[in-house]
Amino acid sequence: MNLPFAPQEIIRWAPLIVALPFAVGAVTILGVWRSRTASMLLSAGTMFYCFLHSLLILLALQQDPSLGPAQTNWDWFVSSSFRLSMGVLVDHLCAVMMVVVTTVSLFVQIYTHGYMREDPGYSRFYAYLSLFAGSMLGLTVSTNLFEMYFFWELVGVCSYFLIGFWWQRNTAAEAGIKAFVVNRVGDFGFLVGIILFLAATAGFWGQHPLLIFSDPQGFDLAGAIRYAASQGTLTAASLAAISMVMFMGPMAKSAQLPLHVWLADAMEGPTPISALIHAATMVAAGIYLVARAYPIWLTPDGSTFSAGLAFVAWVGGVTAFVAATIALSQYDIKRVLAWSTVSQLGYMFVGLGTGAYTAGMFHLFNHAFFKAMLFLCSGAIIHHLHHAMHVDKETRKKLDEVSLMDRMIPPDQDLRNMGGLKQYMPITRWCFLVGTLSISGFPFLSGFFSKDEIISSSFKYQGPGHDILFWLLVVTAGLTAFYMFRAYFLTFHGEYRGGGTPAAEKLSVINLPLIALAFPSILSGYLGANPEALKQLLTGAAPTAMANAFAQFLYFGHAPEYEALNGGVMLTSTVVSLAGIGLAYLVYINKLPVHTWCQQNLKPLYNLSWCKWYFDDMYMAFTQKLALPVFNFVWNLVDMAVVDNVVNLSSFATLGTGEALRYSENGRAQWYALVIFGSVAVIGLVYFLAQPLS
Amino acid sequence: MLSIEDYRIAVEFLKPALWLSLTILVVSIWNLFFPKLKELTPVLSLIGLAAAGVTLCQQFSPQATTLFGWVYTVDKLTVLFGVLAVVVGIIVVLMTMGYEMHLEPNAGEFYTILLVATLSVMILAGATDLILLFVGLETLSISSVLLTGFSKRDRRSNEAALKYLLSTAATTATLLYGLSFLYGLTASTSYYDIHAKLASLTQTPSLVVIFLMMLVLSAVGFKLSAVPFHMWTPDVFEGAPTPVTAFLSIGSKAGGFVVAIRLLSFVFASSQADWAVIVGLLAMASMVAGNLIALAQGSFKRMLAYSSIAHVGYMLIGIVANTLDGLSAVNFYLIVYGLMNLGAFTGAIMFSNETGTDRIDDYAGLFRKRPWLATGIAICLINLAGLPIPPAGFFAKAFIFWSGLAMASPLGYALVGVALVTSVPAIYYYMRVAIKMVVREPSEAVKQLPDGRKQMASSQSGPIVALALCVAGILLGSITVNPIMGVAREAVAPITNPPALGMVSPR
Repeated sequence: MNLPFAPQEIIRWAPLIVALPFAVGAVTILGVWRSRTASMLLSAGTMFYCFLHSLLILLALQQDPSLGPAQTNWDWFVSSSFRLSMGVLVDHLCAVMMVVVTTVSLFVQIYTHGYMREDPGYSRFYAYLSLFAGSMLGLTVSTNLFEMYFFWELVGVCSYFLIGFWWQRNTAAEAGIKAFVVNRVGDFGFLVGIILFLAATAGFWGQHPLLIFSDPQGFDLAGAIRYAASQGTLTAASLAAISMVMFMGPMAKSAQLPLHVWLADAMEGPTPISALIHAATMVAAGIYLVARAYPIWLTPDGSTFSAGLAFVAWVGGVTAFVAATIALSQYDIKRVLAWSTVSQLGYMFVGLGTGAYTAGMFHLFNHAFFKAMLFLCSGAIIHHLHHAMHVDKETRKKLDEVSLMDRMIPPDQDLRNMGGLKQYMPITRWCFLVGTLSISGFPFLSGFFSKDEIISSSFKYQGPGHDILFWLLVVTAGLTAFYMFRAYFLTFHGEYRGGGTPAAEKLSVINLPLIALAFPSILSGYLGANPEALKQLLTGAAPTAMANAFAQFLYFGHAPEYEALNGGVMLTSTVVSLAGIGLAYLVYINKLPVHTWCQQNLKPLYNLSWCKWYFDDMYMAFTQKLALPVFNFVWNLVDMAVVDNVVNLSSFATLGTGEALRYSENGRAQWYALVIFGSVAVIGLVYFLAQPLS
Repeated sequence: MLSIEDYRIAVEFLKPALWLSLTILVVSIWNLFFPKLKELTPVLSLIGLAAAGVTLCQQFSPQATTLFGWVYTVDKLTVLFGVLAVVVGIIVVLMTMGYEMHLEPNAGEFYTILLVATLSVMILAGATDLILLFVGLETLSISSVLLTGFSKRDRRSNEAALKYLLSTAATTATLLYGLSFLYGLTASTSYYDIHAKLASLTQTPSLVVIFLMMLVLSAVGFKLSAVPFHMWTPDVFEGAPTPVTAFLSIGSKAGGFVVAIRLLSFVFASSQADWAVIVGLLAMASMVAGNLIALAQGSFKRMLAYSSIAHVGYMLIGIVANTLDGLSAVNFYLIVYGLMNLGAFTGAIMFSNETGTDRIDDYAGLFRKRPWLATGIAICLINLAGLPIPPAGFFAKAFIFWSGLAMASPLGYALVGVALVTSVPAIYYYMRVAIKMVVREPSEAVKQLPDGRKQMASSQSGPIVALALCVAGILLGSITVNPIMGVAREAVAPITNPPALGMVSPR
């Protein structure tokens, strides 16, 4: 295939992809504010351009892999001892991430036109969307850790603004604050990790840009680690410690245990935001960081059997399982999806942690499409029901009572108020089904391929507790299938339980993006599959490693590593998933009373899931009972003992230095002249007399 | 004798000052001839300032030129401080546009005098002769006195102006006394000659040299309001109209700093060991007193004004270091500090225009009602506190501290030590306001603010632009640290490494 432009030119203009959304965001905030159409067209049009450009970059790198990594660095600050720079790095990893970000952004922006049409903050929303896209793309093309930290914070800021977009609602404002606080904890660790790493490799950088990810001459992270290890300033243990501290950043941003608590609450933001930021792009930034700065997580000699990666894998594995169990009992459709996101992000970390670099990124790639689509579907349902339930006040009141009773779930997001929607919303239903099958790992949809790669890599994994990790993932796959189909059946099958009558769905700007995203949700997995390998498996021949397009494009180190298909593992995870689907069918279609049975006989376990493993309660108890009182005590102590005294002291200072004389109106201005003359004389004389002493 | 050609060249290089002078003439008579077009006065001032700024920027060339023999030097330092003066002038004019109701019916004259003050800072930036230095300082002082007393019916304003006038007179006396000693010692008024002759004097400093340095320092310290020459600040900051306070806390300080750089680093270069200790003492006293007094303030404006004394203390560290790094750090600090301080003052004007109060407690909860205003003020405050997000203010402080540490002398360590310790209360009193605005429940004054954007009366548009300019400047400065630092470095390079004398002094 011939590209319409020279590949070098395409890569040379890559900075535009970052700059344009920022410019459009700024213009929208400042100027076009009043014109809704202009805001929308400008924003979505720019994103369309970014999408095309990213695609071209991907294709250019595909045709000529030697083009990447290409980077431009601009000096931000240069001193005699170091050089801080900001720049644009285009390589294979970045190209994949850019395609993910721009594709999802584009469809979310189109969808927003339908979803937010009646919102007074429509233009503001588009401005934030553009700013977010710019920040996220900036993070993607960052050339060094400092720049990444900068954009990391920027996407965070956009995210708080968007979570709290409906800040008049208390819950939304609180969710924004929660996300902010939890991310502060994580970002603090990230920053400390960067500084520790810098301290350990301080002598290495010289006049080369600091903490750069890749450099043809080897003045990059990997080179720094080799140098520091040879100098003895960095051992395997200290590198692992640094990587674990730094991993607090990804833990918070990608909602991993124990910093996962903010993501479910972040669903207070408008649904397009949940799809864009809290499912496909920003929450994947943690995975991207680990993938980008992979050498830090390896051992100093570059092996994947490191304590740092084992930590990543275990955090991911445990999170995947815990989040899946929580999702089992939730009734808010968006929160079910949010917990499933947390769980799937855990899978990605297991992929990276067990050394399956390609598999982790591949799951990120596939997950972004189907999860964004699932969220957009949930948005479509909410939007639809919102209108249906507006019809009569009486029913609405009754619904409010049911839904608001325990969890403050808005009635139009409550699974208990849905049901039977397949006859009203056929397009959404089929799209949702595709996403559900894909995330459940149903054979030959995209999620199947990447999940299988991760599970096989955990099977092969030789690190600590590998058997447990493998079974954790298999069980989680079953749980995933169950709770996703639970949501699907509760939403689309059975009788409609909400108030009013939903209108029949029409083809509109709301469901066109769903249809568009359904294609990659089905097909993107085939980038990582090789039909030959399947043939081998079916004919019973001994499995050998086969090339696949994704791994060929994106890999870490010197040559792509391919996995041989493991029939047993594949069969196990598939059977477990199908069992999950089957169980969901029995419970929610055949009305097997499992749910009530669980509530009655497995009360503690049910509550564990329903109360989200009590993490929120623990944190609340910790802050209310311990942290806040201690903080208040210290603060009061400082305020009373120190600040007050200093203030008193400083009032003495003010007395002595002239403030006491202000508007004294007693004609003592000659005092001023006296002080001036006196200081000249006294200071001069004292200094002269002190001369011989010095 | 100067030839016609010399004058032609001089006019060529004095274009910015001439533009500004022309503007002053037009603005001063505008209200007289076109009373109906009164609101155009600030616009005319802005145009004049912009023209001066543009022509100044064109003069940023590596070649230093001295005019009228040696009286006025146009080098990169002149241009940098000239541009700084112009930018301060522009922002102060913009914020005055929202303050005019306090200055009626004489707002036209206010702009005239403000422009004269700006012009005098520009002249001070290039003055390399004692006579021109004196003329510049006096012009600045007298216009500052006039501005301070501009609220004629306000007793505090009148009193402040009178006190300022009397203290100015005192420092004029000390300065003239010092200058006459200098002339007596060296028989010249040219910086270049004095520099050379002082260098050839005996190495051990005599009482006379120390005293004449103290005399000159008292005048410079007075302009910088460095402790103990800061006695005028409480009255003036309290009594003067807010835009004037803003101008005095940065514009006249910029004038003081450029004089300090030229005098101390160049003219008195040979006795650096002596003045370094004295200036170091002034710096420490300013940091301690400035921060402590600011801590005790209940009014936002006065807190800003007092903390400016502390910032002068920080900047003096760079002067004491007297290295390329130190002086360029001073320039960088001035640029960034100017923006954030003016931004905060603008915010204060906008707030008190709407609420009529200036108590720090009344700023509580401002974010709920005026998110943009509160965000703008908060960004300025975070930078003033020197916190690293956004990093312009942080970098400014860090550069100064590094240059102090690089001295590797007890004085340097003592200065940086005092600076670090006194930064802690600074973070407290700046962040207290920022946190109040965002976190706390709205105060009574804020609660009474009308909702929505309709309240933005047209008189607020000037301050809005000023605040936006300041915040944009800070954000831009955070990104373009390196280019700004490059300019700051180039501006002082010839001072720390002066050219051969024959080249610049035609005598």
